[in-house]
Amino acid sequence: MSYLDYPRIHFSGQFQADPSTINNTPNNYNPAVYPEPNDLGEVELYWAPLGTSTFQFKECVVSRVDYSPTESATTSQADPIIGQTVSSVNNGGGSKLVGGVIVDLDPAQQNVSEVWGLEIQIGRGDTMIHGQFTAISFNAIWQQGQGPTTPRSSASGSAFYQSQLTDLTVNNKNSTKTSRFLTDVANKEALSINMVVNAHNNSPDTYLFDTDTMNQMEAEGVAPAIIAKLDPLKSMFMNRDNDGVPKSLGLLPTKKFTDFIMLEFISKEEYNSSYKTIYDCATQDPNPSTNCEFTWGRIYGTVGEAAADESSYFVASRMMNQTQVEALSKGEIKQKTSPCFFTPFKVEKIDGVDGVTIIINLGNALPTDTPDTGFFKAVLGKLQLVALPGGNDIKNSVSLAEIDYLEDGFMSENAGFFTFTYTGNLDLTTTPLGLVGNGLLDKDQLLLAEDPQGYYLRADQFVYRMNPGNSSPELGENNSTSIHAMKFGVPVPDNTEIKMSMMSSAVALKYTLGTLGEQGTQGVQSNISTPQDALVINNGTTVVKTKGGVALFDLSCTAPGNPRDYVNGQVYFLNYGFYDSAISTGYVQDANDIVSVQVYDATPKDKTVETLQKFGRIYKVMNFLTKEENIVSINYRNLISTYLNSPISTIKHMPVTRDLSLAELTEITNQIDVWNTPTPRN
Amino acid sequence: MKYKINITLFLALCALIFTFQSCEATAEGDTAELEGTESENLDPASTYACTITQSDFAKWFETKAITDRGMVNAANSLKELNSDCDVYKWSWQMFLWATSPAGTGNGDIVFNSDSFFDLLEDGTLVQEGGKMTRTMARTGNFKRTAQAGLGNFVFMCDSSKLTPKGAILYYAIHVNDVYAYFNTGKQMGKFTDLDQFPTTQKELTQIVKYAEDNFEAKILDSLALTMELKTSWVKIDPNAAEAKSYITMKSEIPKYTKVTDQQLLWDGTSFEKATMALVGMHVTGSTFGHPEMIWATFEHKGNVPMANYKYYDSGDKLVSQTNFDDNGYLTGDAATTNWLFFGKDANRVQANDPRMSVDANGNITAEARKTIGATQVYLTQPFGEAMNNPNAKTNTAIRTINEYITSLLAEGDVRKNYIMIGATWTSNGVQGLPDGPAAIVEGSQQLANSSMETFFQKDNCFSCHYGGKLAGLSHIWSKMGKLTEPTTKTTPY
Repeated sequence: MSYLDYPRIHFSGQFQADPSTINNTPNNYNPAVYPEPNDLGEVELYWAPLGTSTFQFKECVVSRVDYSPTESATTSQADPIIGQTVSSVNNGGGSKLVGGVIVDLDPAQQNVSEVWGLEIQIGRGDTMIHGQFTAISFNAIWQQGQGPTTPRSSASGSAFYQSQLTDLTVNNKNSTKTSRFLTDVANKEALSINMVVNAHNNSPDTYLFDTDTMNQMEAEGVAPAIIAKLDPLKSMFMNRDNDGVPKSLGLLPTKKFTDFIMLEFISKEEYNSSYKTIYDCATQDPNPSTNCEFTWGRIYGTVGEAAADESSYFVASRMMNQTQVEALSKGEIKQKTSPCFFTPFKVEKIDGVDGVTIIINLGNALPTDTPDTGFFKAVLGKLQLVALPGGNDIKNSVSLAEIDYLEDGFMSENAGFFTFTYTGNLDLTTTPLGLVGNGLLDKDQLLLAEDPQGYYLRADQFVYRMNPGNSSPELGENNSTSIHAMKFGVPVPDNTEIKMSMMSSAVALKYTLGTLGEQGTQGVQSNISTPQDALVINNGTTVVKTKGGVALFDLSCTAPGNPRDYVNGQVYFLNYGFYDSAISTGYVQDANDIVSVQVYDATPKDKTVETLQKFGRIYKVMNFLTKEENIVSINYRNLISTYLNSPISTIKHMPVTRDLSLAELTEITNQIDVWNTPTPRN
Repeated sequence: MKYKINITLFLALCALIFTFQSCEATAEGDTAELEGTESENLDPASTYACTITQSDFAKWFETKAITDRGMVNAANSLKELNSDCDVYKWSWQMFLWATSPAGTGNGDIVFNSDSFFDLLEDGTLVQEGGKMTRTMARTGNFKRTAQAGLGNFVFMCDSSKLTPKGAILYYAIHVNDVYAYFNTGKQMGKFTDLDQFPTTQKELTQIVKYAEDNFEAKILDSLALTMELKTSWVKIDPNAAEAKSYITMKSEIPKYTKVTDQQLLWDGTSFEKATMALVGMHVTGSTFGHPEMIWATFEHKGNVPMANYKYYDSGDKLVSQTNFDDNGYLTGDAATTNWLFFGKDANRVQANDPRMSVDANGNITAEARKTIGATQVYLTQPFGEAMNNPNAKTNTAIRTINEYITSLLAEGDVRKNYIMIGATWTSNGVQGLPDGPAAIVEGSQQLANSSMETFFQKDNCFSCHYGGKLAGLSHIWSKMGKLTEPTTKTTPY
């Protein structure tokens, strides 16, 4: 059972991801770039230097329930869960923070943004279900926006979060009509949830403080003394170019940050007297990367039952993989990677339904021209679901159904789901499926295709933090990762061999610099993933045989030291795949299907005060740590200690300690205990 | 069951935070004209003092005379406030109004009268439009234990002559009728031209008319404009001598079962009867030119000691108020005071420690490495002074207006035992919107109430209350249900 099965609900709306971008580069971890707390002339601000780490929803509404291939509801009269709000909440976030928090693993791995501390509530009052979202990173990120003018940033990206809701609370007591969906899931231990996220607008409003704009400010009446005080803003910047040279000096992101930094240099009276003129002169034309507000994007969700023994993140399904297609490139026809992306699906026999039912999640599969503008018809053309009894040879494909991806509600009501009941003679439970489109070169081309032998594998948990010398089951020096392998949707035969290997430093560098998350940032060095022997895969046995469709790899680590100097420890990337060349040859895998591991050093790199200062600078949300007098004062130490020691699964733990090693955490806690030991009364 | 508000008389509480000095009030511009023995005990006004004359203070009362437990009128929020001192006086008047007897003859009090609604938690995880009801007196069990700020922390105080062992602090939220009808109207699609809290007569008139036309309701004390109160309460022994210095209320509170040293469980249905004492109150309201609202807070003066601070004396000489010695122990008058939330032998380095938090079902769990228990508390930012920018002028102003008003209140008036910790607003009257000017915070820069922001005393109210003219500013705005039935009753509960 999973979100791909019945019953399930769909919802759509918007999500906010508002991370702080100060930690987007290792350079900003270097204390030397902060000669003074407000001297940010060497700091790469990026697009949200005062981001709050918030991950939340708005305007998310349940649009549809599918009880079976033949029974659905789209009105609240049919099922009162329809039209209900899907809310991001948390237990412990206070009254302002109404969601979880989002954080990257490492400044050199921003392609696994995890959401922690999130609770999701569907409905309210007497028609409601609430659960704890199991923390996980997004996966299957790709560049969905593919038109010539699409932003060359993560704004064009699309990905999904695949996880579970646990600790469920259900209220289904509507006196007029109870929800059939809630009735069906009321006694479940967990729900399976899939959330596609895209069209994230990460283009802030910007303000330019250069000689021209500041001369204009003065000409329009801003006092010369104020202009002089604001002079340091002229040396601040958002990005460096590939040569490391700051781009667009004086261009500052977001009004929130611009207000913040101005008030570091001028008094509130000076601000009040001049802010209107300053902003009149400094404000640049907006250039939003999507139709959503800054830091907001689109979300399309599906929720269904989770089987009791189901993995938290891996969903047992089949997969249509990317193919190679022919397309025009600069006037020439060339082989290119398909414009579509990996697509999970199921084929199953359902009681009471003739034939087999094909359930496809296309929510994260089809390209757009620019973000949030609808699917790219010129590329996709007529889209057909096909069977591929002859493998990936389109000549032998059998058309099963046309997919009307342009119909109203394809995403907003159905979250990109397409279902089709097949009653023909082919045995689709063992026949590969694919998608054919005729948009490219005006001819039918295979855009997606299941592995000819039906194989599919992926890791369950794929993001780890490890601490040498520590025995914590979640964060200690030993852990394990499960690779699930399927063949036409069922576990592969036992003893199928799965291999795992670590990316070399050179490959790791190339990989991470090619990700959407890392593009546009600087500072990742060639010594990434060194020393290689600090992380050991399965005691050196890197090929493991499956049992029940799962290959279990042990991970262990030793102290890597601090090869990156001011960034604690090291980050490693592990590839995995089928070992048998008869399977792996031709098997197509998402390049982001890797396991990412952060290995911290075994000892604190800095003393407590320096560590806290560093994190105060990196996370402005921890601004109470930015000034030394605050750190050594007694006022916030107990609060800091409480947060740092909160369970990693809670909102309180975030966003403070994802970047802290357990050694640093222990050091800080012990130091605070020392500080908090009273001096005997005189 | 009827709710009872018991405003009791009390003459001599434990030692005061303030040491009254013999002086003449000679405040700049607002000369105190005190009569009787009270004036001899008042601080003479420094240049930075905020004072009020006895005659002006008397005008606050419905009878125009200062009387024991006398009814104080709501401040006229349509009137422009021209100085910081005006804001502090507005705050005091609103506190005294909210805690005045409701005039119904049965011991009721204004914030539990027809002028206010209580916003209750209804047990759902996201407040399901928190039930707007006037029936707190009938159903109003205190359930809200989570403090504001990240963590849902719970504050438990030490046992004392007044409080039993393991007394947990509870919180209640109240809005006046202007706020409630404005909120309902907005939910019903009314007031389309009003996107912020009302500050003018024209805006107020719309709301009053809406209430009359749609609910046959007459808004009482409409000149108060929109008011939002948050109150904090602790269970006390009503027979203790100290109980007389508190505004009290008979209620019911959850009955917890101790499972381990790390957990208290509540079954969700069991309550125990209790006498609750008011230990703190936030007073928030819109005024002319201030749609961002003025945010003031009051506490019982016996709650906690303040950190050491400075203020200007009558000769404008900067003097120190030393409550803690260098080793973190109480000293001077503070050492002889029976503070409710800070023990005589406690040390401030161990204070303000969040020890536990509450989950959505009301169960209380200790934080990591900690056990369920009491926290010692002190105010780290006296009068809300900024840590990195101590402002003795603000301290002086708030300290003096507290001295004046607590002295001018009639002997025996229980409200003499409460003090204002501070008030804050923005100089440009804005609400911290993404596309607007920065909210320049005035008054108490880091304002906190020891009973309500126990563990978050570094922030200003606007640190969290921002980002929208209504919902962003007032966190209860979008959590309220609509008023759905006429509430024309004028008889008291």
